[in-house]
Amino acid sequence: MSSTRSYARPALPDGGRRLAAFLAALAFFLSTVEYMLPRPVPFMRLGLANLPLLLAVDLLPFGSYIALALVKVVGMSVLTGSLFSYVALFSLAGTLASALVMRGLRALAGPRSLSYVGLCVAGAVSSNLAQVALARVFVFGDSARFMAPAFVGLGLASGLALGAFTQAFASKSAWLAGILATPSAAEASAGGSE
Amino acid sequence: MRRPPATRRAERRERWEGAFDPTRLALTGVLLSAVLLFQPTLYGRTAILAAAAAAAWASGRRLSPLMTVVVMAGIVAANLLVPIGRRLATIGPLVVTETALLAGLEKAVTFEALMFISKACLGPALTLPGRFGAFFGDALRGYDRILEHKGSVKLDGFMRRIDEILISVYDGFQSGGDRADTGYRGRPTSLRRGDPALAVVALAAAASLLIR
Repeated sequence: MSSTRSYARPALPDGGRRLAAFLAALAFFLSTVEYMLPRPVPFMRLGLANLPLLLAVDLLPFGSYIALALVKVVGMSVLTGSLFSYVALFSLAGTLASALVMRGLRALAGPRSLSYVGLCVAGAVSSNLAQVALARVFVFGDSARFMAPAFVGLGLASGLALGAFTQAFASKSAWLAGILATPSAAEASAGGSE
Repeated sequence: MRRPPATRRAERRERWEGAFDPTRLALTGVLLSAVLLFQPTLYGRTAILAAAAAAAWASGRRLSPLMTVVVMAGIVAANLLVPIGRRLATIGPLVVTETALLAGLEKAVTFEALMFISKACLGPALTLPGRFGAFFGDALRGYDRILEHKGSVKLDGFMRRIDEILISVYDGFQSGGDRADTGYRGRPTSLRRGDPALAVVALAAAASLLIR
């Protein structure tokens, strides 16, 4: 769906605050669901909780989008009890890096030019690079360079998988179609002036 | 008859949450994290790791000793990949050097100690102040609403079920019908029986910084 629609974010009544909170709730839920699923390889995660952030690239204004990214990190860190640990710091750096890269790419290329697969791969790789940089400082030291290729490779694989999943979800979701049916700011003002 | 581990863990969690105010517990966690990061010796960090692990167990959080050992071994091994300092031993192609080993141990102990402090000191009952706290509270309420449907999620038809859940929950959430308790509720409650223990832990942790 989103890959064929023209690129204009819906005009949400409260600046997208409620939708952002709902997407954060969805991220917590998907994180819980993923916890229950078997992992193909230990430490390998699909990162289902990033699906709402990926969808939000095309839904939320920038402020609500960043608030969603922050609440996702803080909420998941509180729920899993890792807020004071390096894990939360890595998660924050990775999430912010991927959120900003995905948003920046979307500003350059609309959904017709860049699918969720491309967005997600770019986001996952930038997230992993940010985490490798932090791991070099806090945990692994210079040895981080030995891990970086495998880590970025895992990011590439999980980014491809999650991007494909998000693309399929976006094309079938009646819930998302309902939100996207909300007129954009430009459409709303054009309608109001008629 | 011996009760199942999950039941005993739930009982520990209930006791822990009843003993401490979530805000004061979280503030103690912040202090302990700071003390850990400024701890000058590996012995001090190891002592905090042991105490934090015991507290995390008492809090009823799910712990995995095996995963803790694997992660710590991984961090130490990774630090040994770049040899620094006096050569202590050679294990196959890996040269164990003193400085790299100590740096690896310090990082591994710190990493896991921070995890245990977080697990012991943070819980879903913690509420955050300000606009961000209200936003966070909204997200948690949405999570509760969605979580009611957790049982209906199966791998078969996973995407369709997620979409159905979103449709069924979103309108009620968007209209704000479930916002009765929106806002910061994190004002500290009256004294709890665990407060003296928190004060002792905070003082002991701060005092440990003076020991060389």
